[in-house]
Amino acid sequence: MVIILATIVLPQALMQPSSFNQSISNIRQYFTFGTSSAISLILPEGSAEICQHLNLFFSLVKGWMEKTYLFTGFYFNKTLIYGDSHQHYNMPVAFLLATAAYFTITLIAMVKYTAIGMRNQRMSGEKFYDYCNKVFSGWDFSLSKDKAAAHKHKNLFHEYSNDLEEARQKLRREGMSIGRKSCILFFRAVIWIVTLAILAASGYLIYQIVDVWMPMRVQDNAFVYLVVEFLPSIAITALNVIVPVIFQQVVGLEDYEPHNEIRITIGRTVFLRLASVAVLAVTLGSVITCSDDVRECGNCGVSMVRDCCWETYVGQQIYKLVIVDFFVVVAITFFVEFPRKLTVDKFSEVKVVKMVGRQEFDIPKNVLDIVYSQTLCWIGTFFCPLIAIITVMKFFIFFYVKKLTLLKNCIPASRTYRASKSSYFFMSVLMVSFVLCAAAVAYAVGRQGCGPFRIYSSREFFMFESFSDLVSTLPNLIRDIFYFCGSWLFYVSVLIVLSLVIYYYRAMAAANKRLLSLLRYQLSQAGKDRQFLLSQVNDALLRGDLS
Amino acid sequence: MGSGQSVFTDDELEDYQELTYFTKKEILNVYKRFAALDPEAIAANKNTHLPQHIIEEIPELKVNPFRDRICQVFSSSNDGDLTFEDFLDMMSVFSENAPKNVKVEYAFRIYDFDGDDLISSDDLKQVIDRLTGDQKLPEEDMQQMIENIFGEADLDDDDSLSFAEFEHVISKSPDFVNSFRIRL
Repeated sequence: MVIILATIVLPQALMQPSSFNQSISNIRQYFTFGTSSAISLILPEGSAEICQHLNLFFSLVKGWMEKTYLFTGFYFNKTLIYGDSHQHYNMPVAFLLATAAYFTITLIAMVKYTAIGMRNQRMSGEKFYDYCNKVFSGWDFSLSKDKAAAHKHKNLFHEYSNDLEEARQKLRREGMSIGRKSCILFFRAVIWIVTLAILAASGYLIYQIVDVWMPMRVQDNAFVYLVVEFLPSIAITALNVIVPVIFQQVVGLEDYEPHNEIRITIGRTVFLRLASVAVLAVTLGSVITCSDDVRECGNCGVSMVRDCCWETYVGQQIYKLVIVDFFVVVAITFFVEFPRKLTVDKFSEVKVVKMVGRQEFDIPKNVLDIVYSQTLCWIGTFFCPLIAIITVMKFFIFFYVKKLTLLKNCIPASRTYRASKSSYFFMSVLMVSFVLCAAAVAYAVGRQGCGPFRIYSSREFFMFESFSDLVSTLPNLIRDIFYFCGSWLFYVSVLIVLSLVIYYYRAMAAANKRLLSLLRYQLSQAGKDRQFLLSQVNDALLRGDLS
Repeated sequence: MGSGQSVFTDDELEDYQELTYFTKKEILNVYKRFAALDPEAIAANKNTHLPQHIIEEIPELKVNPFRDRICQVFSSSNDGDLTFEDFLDMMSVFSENAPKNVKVEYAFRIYDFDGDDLISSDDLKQVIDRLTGDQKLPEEDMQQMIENIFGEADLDDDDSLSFAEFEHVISKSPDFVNSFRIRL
């Protein structure tokens, strides 16, 4: 778990330098194209203290927060010529390039990690020596405590029994009658339909909230206002907590093999989380697209969405989601797991209590929590730059809270968790959410802008044009290079080269596989040779030829 | 590093460093742990054999189900008693810097209970028994496990694993290096 936390926090922390750091005084930095390192500093107009804002979070009227550093809408546009140094700081381009940079860095980090995982998997060839691995690498030689050793013995015993039981069940399943099989299939189909219905209902609920209830908020009652503002985030987070529990109970009825059960539950939970964020994004998209009136993005005084910077609005929603998620998880730890431990300890004779028992530390669920926070961070940073910093702090706090609950409240999972196999699976989940976020942000970039792109608020001007403007002011040679990169010829040739490289590596892999099977054959033949020679020696000894 | 430094000459430390996978500092640390087991005997003669039951008391080995096999394998006198050099050898093989093939070789010797350079089904039975601790697998489960392992690993169908077959299987195992490790 720690490894997964570290490798997911690490891409996040790698991204941290590219997030927008605050500086109170003027810093003379010149952001050049050539540097691929993602250090970009944004020069603030004023010198407000951001920490104060976050501390006064709950009592703030939301409108005031719109004008702070938190959201994209605040950052000033185009160039800032300051002091006597005649240096330009191109804000919009900085935004775009920083976003591109952190996406690229994260992508490279993830691909590297997955490549290592894939190499380990591929190394085992077509077969994975399951039983040998469990027996010969089963005992962890670095254990030194009695309790841990006893637990390990128990784990190994259960693992072996379960594996043998699974193998027997598999045989039994294959020998089942047609009638029973079709009954099970029918049951599975029903449950799949039920889960899809639950997912659709959740999506519809979110859509309803954003589209129908939000615009109906009343300005005068501050508390109701606050609650309604947070309604989408609360709804999504509540769904994220309740629905996976339902999924876990339901999958037991479907009679899958145990490891498939886990995978299917995780798959459904992942889909739920991504779908809820996607529905939120799409609904927001439809809400902020106004029909005919040209929006004035000058002064964001009023908080009705159509009069304000849409990036700020989206940033706010995501920010609220992040905060609510954080509080809910911490609250669950303290208000659900801790009392559970206390009740189990105090009333341990009561049968029901003993049946429920202490909380087991569920690794997949916690990893999914982290993947979810990371997804929100990726989407959110473009709209609300400080989400990156908030997410890093959130991860730190998560880590220590989870460590506390693990040591004090939970018992270890009774099922052995093979980190080597599953971390690859979770990384691919992370990659999927990454691709979705990149697509969402790319779509957002291609639209009209606000905030740093404030000049371009007329209909025909898009965010990306700031980039192209900058390119056209560069010297001829570099401009020609960029134009060439943007042309079709370049992409087609890159595609062809990549396909050739892939084909080459596939051919190498196939050849290596053939070599591997040949060597295995040689190994078995060597054994047979040895046996043959031994028997010959025995015969010779018996016959008395050798003394 | 006061007391440790005076026990070994520089040459000895150099030799140890070359022959094991430790740095000088780690070697002295190992010596400190070894000497702590029976200070008077070590002070008298640093090459004394310490009996097996004392070695097995160190926390790193105390809960290990294979501790007696480990002592047997690394004992230069083949009776389970370890000198300091045997102990150093043992810790070096289990350290993080030891290469995989060295670990595989010693793992084979540890799991080969009867010492005939083959892991037979009796050896396997003992291994699995020790792994499951107090709860024993029922007889037919045990047989099934042994059959499965031989089915996966035994390429020449002689109902035992030679070193080559063992190495072939273990080197593909992703968990082996992480689990075959003792830190002092």
